[in-house]
Amino acid sequence: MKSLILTITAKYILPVMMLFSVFLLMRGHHLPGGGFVGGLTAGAGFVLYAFANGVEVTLEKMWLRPVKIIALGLLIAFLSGLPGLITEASFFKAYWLPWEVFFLPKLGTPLLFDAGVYLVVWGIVMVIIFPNITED
Amino acid sequence: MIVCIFTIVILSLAVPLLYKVFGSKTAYLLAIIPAVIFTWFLYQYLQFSPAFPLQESLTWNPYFNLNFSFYLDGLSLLFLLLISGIGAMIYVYAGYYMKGKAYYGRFFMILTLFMAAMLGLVLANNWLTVLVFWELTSITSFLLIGYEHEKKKARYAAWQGLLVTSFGGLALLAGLVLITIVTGEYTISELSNFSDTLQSSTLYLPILLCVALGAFTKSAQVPFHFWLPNAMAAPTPVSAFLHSATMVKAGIYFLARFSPIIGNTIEWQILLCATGGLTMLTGAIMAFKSDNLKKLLAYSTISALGIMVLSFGLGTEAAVYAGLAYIIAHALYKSTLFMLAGIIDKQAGTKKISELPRNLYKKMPAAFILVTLAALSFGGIAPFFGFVAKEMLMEMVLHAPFFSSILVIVMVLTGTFFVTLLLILAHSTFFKKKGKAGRNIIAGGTIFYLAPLVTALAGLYFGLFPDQLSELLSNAAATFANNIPEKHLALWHGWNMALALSILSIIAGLGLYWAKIAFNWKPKAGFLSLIYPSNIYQYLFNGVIKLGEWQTRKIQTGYLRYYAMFTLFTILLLAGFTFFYKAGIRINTSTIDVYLIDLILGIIALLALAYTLFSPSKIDSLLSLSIVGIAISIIFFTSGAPDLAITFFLIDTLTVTVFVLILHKLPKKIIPKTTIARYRDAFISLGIGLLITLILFSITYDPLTSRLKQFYAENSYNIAKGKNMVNVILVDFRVLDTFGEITVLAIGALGVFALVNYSKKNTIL
Repeated sequence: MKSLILTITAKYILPVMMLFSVFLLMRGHHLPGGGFVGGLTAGAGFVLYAFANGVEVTLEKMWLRPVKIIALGLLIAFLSGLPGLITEASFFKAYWLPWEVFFLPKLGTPLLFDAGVYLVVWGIVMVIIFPNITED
Repeated sequence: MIVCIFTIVILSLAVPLLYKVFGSKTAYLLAIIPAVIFTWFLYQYLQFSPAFPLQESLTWNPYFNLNFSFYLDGLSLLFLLLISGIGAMIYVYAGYYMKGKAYYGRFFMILTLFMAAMLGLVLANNWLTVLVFWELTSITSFLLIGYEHEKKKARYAAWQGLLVTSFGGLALLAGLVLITIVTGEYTISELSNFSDTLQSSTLYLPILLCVALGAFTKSAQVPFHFWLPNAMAAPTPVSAFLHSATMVKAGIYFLARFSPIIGNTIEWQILLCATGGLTMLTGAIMAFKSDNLKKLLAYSTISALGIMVLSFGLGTEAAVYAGLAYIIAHALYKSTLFMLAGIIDKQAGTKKISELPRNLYKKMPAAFILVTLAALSFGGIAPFFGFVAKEMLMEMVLHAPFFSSILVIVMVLTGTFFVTLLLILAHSTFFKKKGKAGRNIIAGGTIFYLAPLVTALAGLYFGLFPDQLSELLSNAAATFANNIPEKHLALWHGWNMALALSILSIIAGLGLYWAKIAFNWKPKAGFLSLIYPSNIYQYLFNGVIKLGEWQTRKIQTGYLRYYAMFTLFTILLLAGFTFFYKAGIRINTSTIDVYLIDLILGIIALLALAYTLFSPSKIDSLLSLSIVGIAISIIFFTSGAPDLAITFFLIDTLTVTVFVLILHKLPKKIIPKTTIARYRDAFISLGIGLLITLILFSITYDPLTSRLKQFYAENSYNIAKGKNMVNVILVDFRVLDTFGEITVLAIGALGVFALVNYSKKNTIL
């Protein structure tokens, strides 16, 4: 069953939700938000899209399969701990870039870690919910 | 020492790569490792005769007193030389034996790892390190025994070996923990200073039993001996290495190492002498009964291990020397015999003596000569080293401080069986009158015989010149006590009682063999099978599996409601008990501030909840449940926890989405609950709710004066450069926790992924 309204809505809402989720991730260090909430939002956006267009169409449009997104997230989170491990033998010691980029928060390993969390959560939401969406 | 062990471990991981380059020559290449270790340590020892003990240490984890500390004294050196010397021979032998077999690279990788573990075990000084290596030998030997994993027998034997030895490993762990509780010391070489404290401690008996249990399981003492003969399912090089010279000697080494610490008390002597004596007799009788060459050797190994345990149990000067000499003698002759059993098996196609072709000596003359050389040492015939060791054993039991006469009888009986076994090995195997003509038997390559030739000749050489070993043995014996004098070994001790007993056992052995041949006598030994410990093992093994099946049937019903019920009920029981028993109910209403908005939201949540419970429609229940979630998240928001509110809101939304999706897959017809079930469920839910409420009241009873809050408030911006405290805690202060959490989540998602793909048989995700 395809609903035209839903399909069109999802098409326009998905990018907005993705942007919003990245916004939540970025502002997380100073204001309410963060990787977990961002990942949930991104996941919710894709779930909506899958409702409207079906799971297979959604998956075809993605570069990475959800399971690989989880793996990538874990890898990024792990890598963000390595600089501290190498320099001071203290896993996950935080490092920040000394300069600030316009419009962006201060960049550093904690933000990278949060991005890993974001990816993991985003992937998990899809892995759990997608199999239950059946087209009938 | 540290370098040497780590090098081997790293090399062992590189073995499969080496195999890609060098093919089946890898084994000969690998033989260089133990050979280098052997010559290096021997050279160091002979050239510089360094002042023992040598120590090296590398900190691993200081918080747990965990160091890679290594310690080389006379005892370790003796074992080190044995392991590396025999090890080198085994590699040469295995290189031929394993040629063309599957998983060649993997086999040598595990074998090398095993050797590293064994060397680490005899060198380690910190008991935590010792345990690590101890368990590593158990695991690697499990893999080696189960090498031919497509055979059910091999898998079974591997399991049995692992379960028995790791059971012992746990006992050993308990014993060592107890020792540290008494002394506070982790270094084994320092523990001998505490021997008085330990021996007078009330915990002495448990310590002794635990340590002995560990050693007994590893060294296959009665009643844990049954795993060793089954372990013969392993390829023969493994049997020759693990079950003659190394793995089973680990327990013996441990007893020797702990003898100055907890040894030489009455309890120690009784326990070890009784077990050792029983084991040596049982092993000898079982070996006499076996028809399978490898099983025969395995049982005689058990018997020999019994002899060693007995001698370290006695603990007199003569006994210590005899035990140590016998370790060398046994390693030399037993590895030779095992290797030859493998050759015979490979060339003649069977391990069963009764199935061997007739007049094998004509077809395999080299094997015959080597078996005879080694078997003569095994039977304790002059001028082989086995004879020297046996004389010392006789000397030991003659001068035993107690039960001398019984021990003499046991020793002579075992000696008799050994002589009979010698004849079975050298005569029955090769001079069969009857039997098939045998298929075309190839003698095998020269290199196949090289390794057993070296070990057999070593047995002869040390028999002729036993004094060569005197210094090594004296150094090793010095670790048992301070006042053990040096001793010179000799082949000829003159006409004395020990020699007379030796001759008696030889004559008796000849007689027994003649009786066996003449009457075709096969002793039934029914009394031994009555107490077959392997039956007990089997019973326990099946029992555990049955228990698992039963509780899986009971708990893993597959119904979500029962999972929830069991989980919640357990929480209610355990947390409730702890709460009422340890804390008690405390309510202080003055600390609770209630605002109007919270009150309104609370009432909304309650109403929605009531509707959820009593609504006839499932979709209605679900939607009203989401109202509860939204109301709670607004309460979070007004209470100043926006992060929590957002997360809760999103989770609630997604949960409802999943529920809606699942809802139409549920059966339309709801099976009505019985009244009792309704009351039971109501009880559990109300109980949980009440418990959580009471716990919350109790927590808020005390004013929150945690320094944590202050710490985070002060430091989250200054140090971690973030204004959102919650986020800073998650991604910076407690980042490792978060990392663990997302790992768990990812694993959970993988589980879902696997389930979904399993049932759908396609990979859409």
